[in-house]
Amino acid sequence: MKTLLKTQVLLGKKDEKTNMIFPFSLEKPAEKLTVDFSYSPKILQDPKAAKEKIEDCLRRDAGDYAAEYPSWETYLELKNLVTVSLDDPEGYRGCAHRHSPRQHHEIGESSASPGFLPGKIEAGPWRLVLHVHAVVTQECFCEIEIQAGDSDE
Amino acid sequence: MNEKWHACELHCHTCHSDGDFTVKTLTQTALRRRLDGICLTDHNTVSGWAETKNSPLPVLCGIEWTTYFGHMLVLGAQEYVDWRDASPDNIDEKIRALKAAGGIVGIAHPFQLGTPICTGGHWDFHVRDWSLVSYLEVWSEGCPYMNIPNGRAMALWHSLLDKGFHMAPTMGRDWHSDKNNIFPGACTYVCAGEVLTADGIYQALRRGRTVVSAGPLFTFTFGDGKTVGDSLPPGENRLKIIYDTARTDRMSLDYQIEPQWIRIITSGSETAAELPFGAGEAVITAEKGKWYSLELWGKIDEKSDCLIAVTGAVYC
Repeated sequence: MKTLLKTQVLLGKKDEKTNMIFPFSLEKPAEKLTVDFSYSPKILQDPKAAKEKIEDCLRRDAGDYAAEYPSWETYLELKNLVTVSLDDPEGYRGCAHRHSPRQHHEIGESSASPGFLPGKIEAGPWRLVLHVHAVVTQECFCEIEIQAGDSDE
Repeated sequence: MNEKWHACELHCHTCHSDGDFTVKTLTQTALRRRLDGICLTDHNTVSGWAETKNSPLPVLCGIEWTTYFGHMLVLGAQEYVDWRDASPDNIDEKIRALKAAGGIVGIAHPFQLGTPICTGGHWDFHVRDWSLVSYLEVWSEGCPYMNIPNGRAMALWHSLLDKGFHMAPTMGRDWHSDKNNIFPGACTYVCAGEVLTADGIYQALRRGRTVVSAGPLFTFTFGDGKTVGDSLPPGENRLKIIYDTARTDRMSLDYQIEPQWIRIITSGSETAAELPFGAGEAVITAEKGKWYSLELWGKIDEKSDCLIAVTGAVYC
């Protein structure tokens, strides 16, 4: 397997609700592409910070009804959520919108991990897009590794 | 052509995003719930669509745009439109592109608590032209009584009808798992052909032919075979009221529904009339420019004054 992209990124609150694009390219067609993606921490452990964020959310989204909602503890635990989507040289190849902070995806011609479309792994410009849905911790450390190769590797 | 009301779940997730279901177990569970059709709306992916080919019930394929500013259900779009650069101010252009690709859109759980509790779950997009939106999830997560977000969604639906937009109300369980489903009989009924197809669900949503219910079918007909979603002529109209528990009778529900009265609701969320449940007919003296919808109220278990079902609107 050949590594096409290996990178680390430190996410903070300022990155919330933004996309980060990581271009990579395949010199020749491959039989499969693998994406290893992880981030840490997942859970906000500080109850004081969690309370503040939940109360902010209630004020913002429940508005005049905030007082009628159950207590803030109901909404624990608060979690970071980062997802990835993928584009091949022709366009959108899918997204893994799930909550696990450690994901391994394989994409090949006849099968692909759930969320992604199976099909040829063409040469050309590809990109991975990181979707930073929520960063509730001070920092969130994220790692991405993309490899390409033949199915039996 | 004979038309019939069909029980549907319009908001479903599988392992192609963050659901517990596979496409197969989703359709099998839907059958056990006595559902006639479903929409597959995984978060930001269409990779589950290929598995619906041999489904035992009609599946309308879609996607839930799971953005930072709201969750939007898209059904029937035949081309990919990028959800990733949706921003509060370009949503109309995005919806236009989806419609050009043959899609219709509905807003999911507009008043759900958003980030970080449910990321992007609160609707923060600035829709400038609401005529682009075909349906609104007025009940989320199978919760048929008036909890706060559902009450606010109902009020939003009324306010949009007041502005002259035609929009179908829907119930979306936001179905991720067979576990902990409250009010398992709750669904959206859609009016379509005798035999339900995916296109039948699509057309019913487009035409406003929906009813949301905690379980039983509650709807009406009038005139020459007209029903929910149709136009109502000004003056006196006699509505034949239909209440049918055939589906829920075959389910062993863990809750009891006892309908008590029917409310005819009209523009400005005003009550046009209240009738006892059991009245086979309702009379609406329709005024030009107004909309009308029927609500069924009663007891769910020991709780009084529960909203049991709401019909889509008719427009004069």
